[in-house]
Amino acid sequence: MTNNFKTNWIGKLLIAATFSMPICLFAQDKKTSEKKDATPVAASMKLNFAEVDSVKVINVSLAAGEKPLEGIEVKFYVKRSLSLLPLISNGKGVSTDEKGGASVKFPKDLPGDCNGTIVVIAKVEDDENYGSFETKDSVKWGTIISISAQEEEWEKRSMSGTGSRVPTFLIATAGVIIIVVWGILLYVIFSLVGIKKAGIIKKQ
Amino acid sequence: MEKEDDKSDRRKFLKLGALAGGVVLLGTAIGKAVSSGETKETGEKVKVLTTDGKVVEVNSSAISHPASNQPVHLPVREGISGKKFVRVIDLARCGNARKCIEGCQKSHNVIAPVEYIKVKKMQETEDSSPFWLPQMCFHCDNPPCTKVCPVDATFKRSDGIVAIDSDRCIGCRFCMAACPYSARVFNWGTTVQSKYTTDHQDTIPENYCPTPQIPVGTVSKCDFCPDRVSKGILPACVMSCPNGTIFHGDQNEDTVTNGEDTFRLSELLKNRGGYRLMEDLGTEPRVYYLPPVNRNFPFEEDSEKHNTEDYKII
Amino acid sequence: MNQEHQILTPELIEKQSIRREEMRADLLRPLDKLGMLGKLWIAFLLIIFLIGCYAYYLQLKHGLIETGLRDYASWGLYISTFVFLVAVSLVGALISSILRFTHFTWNRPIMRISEIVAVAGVIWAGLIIIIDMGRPDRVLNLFIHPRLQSPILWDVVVVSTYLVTSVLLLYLPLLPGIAFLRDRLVKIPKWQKWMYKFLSLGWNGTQEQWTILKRGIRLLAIIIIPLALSIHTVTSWLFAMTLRPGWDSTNFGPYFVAGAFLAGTAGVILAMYVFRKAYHLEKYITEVHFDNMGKLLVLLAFIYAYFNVNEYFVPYYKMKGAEAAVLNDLFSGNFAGLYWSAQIFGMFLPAVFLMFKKMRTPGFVTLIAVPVLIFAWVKRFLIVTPTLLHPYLPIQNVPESWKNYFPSWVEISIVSASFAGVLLIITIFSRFFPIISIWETLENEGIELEDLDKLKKENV
Repeated sequence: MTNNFKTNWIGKLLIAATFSMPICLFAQDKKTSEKKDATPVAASMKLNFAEVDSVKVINVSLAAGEKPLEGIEVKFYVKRSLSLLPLISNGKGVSTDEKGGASVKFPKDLPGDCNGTIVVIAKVEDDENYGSFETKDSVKWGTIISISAQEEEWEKRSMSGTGSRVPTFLIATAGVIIIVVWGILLYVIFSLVGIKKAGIIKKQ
Repeated sequence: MEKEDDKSDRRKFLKLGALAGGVVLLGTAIGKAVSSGETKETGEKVKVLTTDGKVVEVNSSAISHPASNQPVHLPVREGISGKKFVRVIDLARCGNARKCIEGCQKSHNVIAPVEYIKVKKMQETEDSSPFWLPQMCFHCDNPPCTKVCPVDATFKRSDGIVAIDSDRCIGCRFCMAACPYSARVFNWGTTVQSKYTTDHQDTIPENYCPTPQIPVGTVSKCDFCPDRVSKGILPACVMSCPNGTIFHGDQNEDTVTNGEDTFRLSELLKNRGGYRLMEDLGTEPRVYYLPPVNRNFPFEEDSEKHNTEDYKII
Repeated sequence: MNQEHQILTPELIEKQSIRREEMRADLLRPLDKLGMLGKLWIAFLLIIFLIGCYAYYLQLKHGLIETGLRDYASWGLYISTFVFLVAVSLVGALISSILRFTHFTWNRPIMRISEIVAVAGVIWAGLIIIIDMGRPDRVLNLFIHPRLQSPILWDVVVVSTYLVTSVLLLYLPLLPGIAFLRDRLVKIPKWQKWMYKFLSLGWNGTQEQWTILKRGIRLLAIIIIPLALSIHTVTSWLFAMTLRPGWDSTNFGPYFVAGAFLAGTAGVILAMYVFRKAYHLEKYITEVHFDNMGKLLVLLAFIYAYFNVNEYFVPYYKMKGAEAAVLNDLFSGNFAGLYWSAQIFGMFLPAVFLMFKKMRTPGFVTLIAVPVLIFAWVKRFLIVTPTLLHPYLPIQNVPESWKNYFPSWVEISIVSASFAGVLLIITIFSRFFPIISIWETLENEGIELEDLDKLKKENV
């Protein structure tokens, strides 16, 4: 009976080991993948744009599943063609409150693209528990810069413009002077033909 | 009999030659007339929606992409639509590292003593502290240089850049005489320096400004690296500076960046008292300076002389 | 204009014909064989010219690096010489046209000399500006892609117009002379005879031809005056339209024009003296002419001095920042020697000396005209280079040679070749065409050649 107990015990151990290994591994994987979101559910961010008393405010809410995340520093950026423009100077961020929300005021006069669209990015950088993650969304809060007005300005006639955009007074003045002077010169040159003719007639 | 054959052969050959020559000439003439010379039409076709709801295919060069990250193939003389490039140089940060000069030289394929960006020791008054001033072409809005060019080889683009057409420049150097900031350089001739440019033309790294090497006898200068910027890469000098002195950006986006820090242009100028060099000349430069106050490190004299060797003729 | 027509009696016609024949003989002599001195002179000029051609070949091969020009002093000898040659070429308009409308008649014998100096000057001004270009192979771009806002383009237009006008003003009064050579000279090569025939345009001295000729000359003389004023004003704008200290002056137009008349007059005095001596023309280029040219030089020097005072004393009083650097360099710095020599020996002393009648002998007037001419060139150099060496922003971290400007031998030979070229044109012209206008001089003496011709034909 002792023998049976022993083998049973070893066998059970072996079986347990064999089964627990994949479970361990599986659990391990889950652990590493969940290291980013250490809790069983991933953290999420959601941007929301609101206008309160004609002040534009960007809100973000962080949550890990149901639970709002508090005390996490969120940085807000606006996407630009060469970099990200921080909405808060000095590289500061906003800590989420107990509801997992953070907000930042949006400046009234920030230019957007041709439609006034702005792409806002909210980032969490290197949080000790949740790592780095971000979210972005676009909103039509940017001012619209009139590109056509700028191009019109560029196309205006000027002294520094291209040859096809000569100031009118310059063309007029130069034209008149050249026509008058060269008119006289050509008249004199052609009168030389008259001299030749007069000479020929005389010879006859 | 032989003579006649020779003659007729010769005639045939001459006729053929004349015909070929004529075709070539005609082709060149037509080609020249068709292509305006500057327009670079791409082979890309893009689908767009017209105002009456139809979908048509047009050449991508006909589309403008304001304030977006797409590389734009617009005619070179008109510039990248929707952009108004601008720079801010923070004099509180410049420590005469001269890395901007190196970076610019590498990316434009020139070697000393050719410098598009110069770092100068300046001192406003006798009692003020000296400081280092990096200075390049300011791409002025009222450019004295484009006014005097007789052949339109240098011109102002809609994106603010003052560009040079190296294929048209006749080398009269009037623009160099006209620039009050001495921003322009000239390729004086077949020297060791210009040979370097020719030799290394094809070995330049991928993200270099493909400004052609300065042909002999023409003028060149800083061009704000538009080809890098249209690919989303910062200009060479901006990226090379270890102190982040040079901020580059777009006035239409009200943003400038030195790669690490990004600021709103208007706020930077307002809060830090931005100014332009020799404002009273009326050139309206597009490069602003932030005064050298609260400096990152104290002023240090240059330890060595730079560019002591003149050109060497080959 | 002309003296009152004398009643043309047969005796008078006879006397005037003799006078004309005398003049023609005198003026034909220079067109004879070339003397030893003449041969040496032309050989000398040709040597300098050929050395300059070789220098230019080197410059074309290696680029402008062969010069002493660098990024800061980007304009130097070539531009200075260009401005100088344009300046000298204004004298054609002065003597030939401005004085034509006065009651002066003494200038008649020297009108052609002034015109050929002007034509030679403006031709070489155009050539040397092409020599200064970094890419002369692209010179056609000026015509394919012109930019009307550029002062260089205005300069190109005005200089070419002035060239055409000056050539016409040289050619038209020359027509009767060419016809005379065509008829009179026999022992000349075929090609020369053909040249005279071609150029004389069938001139026979008919009434109709004279009318056309005189009208043409009058028209040209009228337009060449504003043209001459504008040619040097526009050239001065190559500097004044920039923002550089020393160039950013509203005074440049009249300053340059005044200096141009002075320089050109000195040049013509020199030419007058050489021709007088070499061709034995003492009867026509008389002491009176040198006396008058001396007086003219005094007047022009004082006018030029007036503009110099405005140009240099006014900024000196203020000593404004960047301009102060340029002025200090001119008054007491690297360029002080040249500057004060130019002002004293090139303008002030000549004016003072020539105020005295005893000083206005042909020899002395010419002697004084030499430094005036030389320092006129120096003055243009002093306008171009010091300003470029004192830009607003300090010159730092450049090779030592960039902080100064020393022309290389290539530049010096090319500039010398351009002067040789000017002299060659004048010399060669004087070997084929009479250097004094016979009919205009005779007109001076009350002899209307057209009347002579008319009556001669009637009498014959």
